[in-house]
Amino acid sequence: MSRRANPRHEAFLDWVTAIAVFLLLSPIAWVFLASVRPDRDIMSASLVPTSVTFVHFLSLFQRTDFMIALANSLVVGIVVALLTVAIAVPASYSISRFRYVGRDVMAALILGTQMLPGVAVMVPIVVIVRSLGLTNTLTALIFIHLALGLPIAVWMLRGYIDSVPRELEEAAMIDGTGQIGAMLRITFPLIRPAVVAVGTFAFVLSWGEYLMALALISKTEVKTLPLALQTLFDPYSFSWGEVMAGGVVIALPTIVLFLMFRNQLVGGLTSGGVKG
Amino acid sequence: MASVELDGIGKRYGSLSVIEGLNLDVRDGELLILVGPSGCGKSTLLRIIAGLESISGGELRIGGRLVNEMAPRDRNIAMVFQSYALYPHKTVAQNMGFSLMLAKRPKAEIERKVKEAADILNLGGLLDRYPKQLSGGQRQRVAMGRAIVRDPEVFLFDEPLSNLDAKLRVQMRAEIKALHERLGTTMIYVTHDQVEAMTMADRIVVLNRGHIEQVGAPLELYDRPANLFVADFIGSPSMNLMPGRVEDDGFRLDGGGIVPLPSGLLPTGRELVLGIRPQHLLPAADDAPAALPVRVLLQEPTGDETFVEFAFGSDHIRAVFRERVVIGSGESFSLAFDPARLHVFDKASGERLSANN
Ligand SMILES: Nc1ncnc2c1ncn2[C@@H]1O[C@H](COP(=O)(O)OP(=O)(O)OP(=O)(O)O)[C@@H](O)[C@H]1O
Ligand SMILES: [Mg+2]
Repeated sequence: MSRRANPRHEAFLDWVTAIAVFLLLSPIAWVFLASVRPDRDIMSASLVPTSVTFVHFLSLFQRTDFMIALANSLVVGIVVALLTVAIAVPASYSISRFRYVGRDVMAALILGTQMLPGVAVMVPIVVIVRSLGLTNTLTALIFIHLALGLPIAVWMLRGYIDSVPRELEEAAMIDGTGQIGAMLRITFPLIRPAVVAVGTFAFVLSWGEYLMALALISKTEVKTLPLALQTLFDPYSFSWGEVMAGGVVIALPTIVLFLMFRNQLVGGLTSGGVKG
Repeated sequence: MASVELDGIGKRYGSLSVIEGLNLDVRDGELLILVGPSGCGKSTLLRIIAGLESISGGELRIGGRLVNEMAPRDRNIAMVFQSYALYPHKTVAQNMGFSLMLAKRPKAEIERKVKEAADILNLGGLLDRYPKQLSGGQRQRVAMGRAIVRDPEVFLFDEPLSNLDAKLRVQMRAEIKALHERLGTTMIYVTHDQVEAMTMADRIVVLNRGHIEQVGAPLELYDRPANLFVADFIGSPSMNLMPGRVEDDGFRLDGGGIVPLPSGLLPTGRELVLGIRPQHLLPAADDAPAALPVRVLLQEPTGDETFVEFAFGSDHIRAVFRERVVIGSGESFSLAFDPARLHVFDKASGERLSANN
């Protein structure tokens, strides 16, 4: 199938892409633009701001509840990202490389957890967290976010580890490493892009998670950003600009992370080690 | 340098037995080649020696030490994989120096040894490249270099040349043989390629379904195959093998043809298989007494040889003539042979009969 064979198809696909990108980007662009416009300007039909202002960000950053939420979200997100990587790498390695009784069942179970809609498990989770006395703690949130992201992380990494030929590790083990050494020195560097992707993914998932946080957290000291954003809709002193600035703060890390690790995320394995 | 002794080695995958009770002594400093049909256990055997597969039974000794439970890194062996298995994220120099780095050798020593190996293998200008920037032949050399740098007691090669084109293969074949002569290290080498086996080996081991059919020098295997399997496996095109029995007028093939033989050469009445290599059949002179009357089925001139397939009764006989012969399909023809070149096997056991040398 040659791409050049039919220019009309190609133009059509280009248009579909353009429309998809527009649909995806326009709300985000709107949020960004609105966050730097004076409040009375925001509701005007025009997309082009008449004047640019950072008052919304300033007033947002002067609110202690917002700053606490920002710190909480950072702590939870970073801990979740690190733990996800620390658990998913050895777990997926074991599933990919070793044969033992119950391996396939376990792998299937891990994937199976993804089939349940989040709302279905929400009630039991809330009950469990309550009975553990962990409501209104970041610890509970960390564990739950970890549980949400880990299965996908394990399956993503497993695919990558499968694609690293076993012979590379065997060569290393003949050269002088043990099994763990071969994993750390050969396989790990080769799957690093995937590890970065998994960590980023876990952070982003935790950063934007709203439902579980809403169910478990009510105290201001332990609120995360999505919850804090909701409190900005204060019926008595409500500013669209501040809400938009909050939206930008939530969206920013995702965008920055993507730009930082773009090469890692889209770059595949370095090829050429083995023939074929 | 070291000998490798396999004593009753067995390997099972679950209930599937791949190798059973295998005995083999690899002598110190020899180049031993393992051949055999696909799936016969060549790679498995090599991986057992390397320590990459566990042993289900028997004892393995390298240089006299029992190594059954020893980790690969402690066995002082080097292996070249068919896929080369170069580390993609390391340069050529890093690939070659990896084992020395792990052994915590001084930097200067690593550099010197890598350079020495690179000089032997003509890799001088490529040390800073990554594997993906190399051609197939260059990758193969790097894999060899990585093995040489370690200065191991035993080299293991698993079809190292099978990914190269014909010309490069011939060249690398000579280089590996030269390397063996230069280093004098024990080498165990797996190949599919008959020519590789015949030209390089000190001794050849013919494996079949996990057991050894015959061990011997290349020409020994060619001249005196111990059984039907080896007779069929060694030599290209493979030996004509014709079942039949001795009768008053000669050797009567099951296919109907009669091979005239000096009487008393073979025991009468027994079910035998007569073997003769295609290279040992000649066009007969018109008045030759003991010629086979055959009919031409097919001929394939390759330039310096002519491959001809004949019908003899309902048997097919292949012959390779050095000289050019002009014959048409369907024509009658006469084949001569030297009875001393005949191989005789017992049909039931497949073993060679000692009657004829
Ligand atoms: N991990 C495994 N589990 C089960 N059976 C295996 C395993 N590895 C190899 N085998 C079987 O063991 C036998 C020997 O395999 P091996 O790879 O040693 O053959 P080989 O002689 O190297 O063949 P080839 O010439 O095709 O490389 C084969 O029948 C194969 O199916
Ligand atoms: Mg093999």
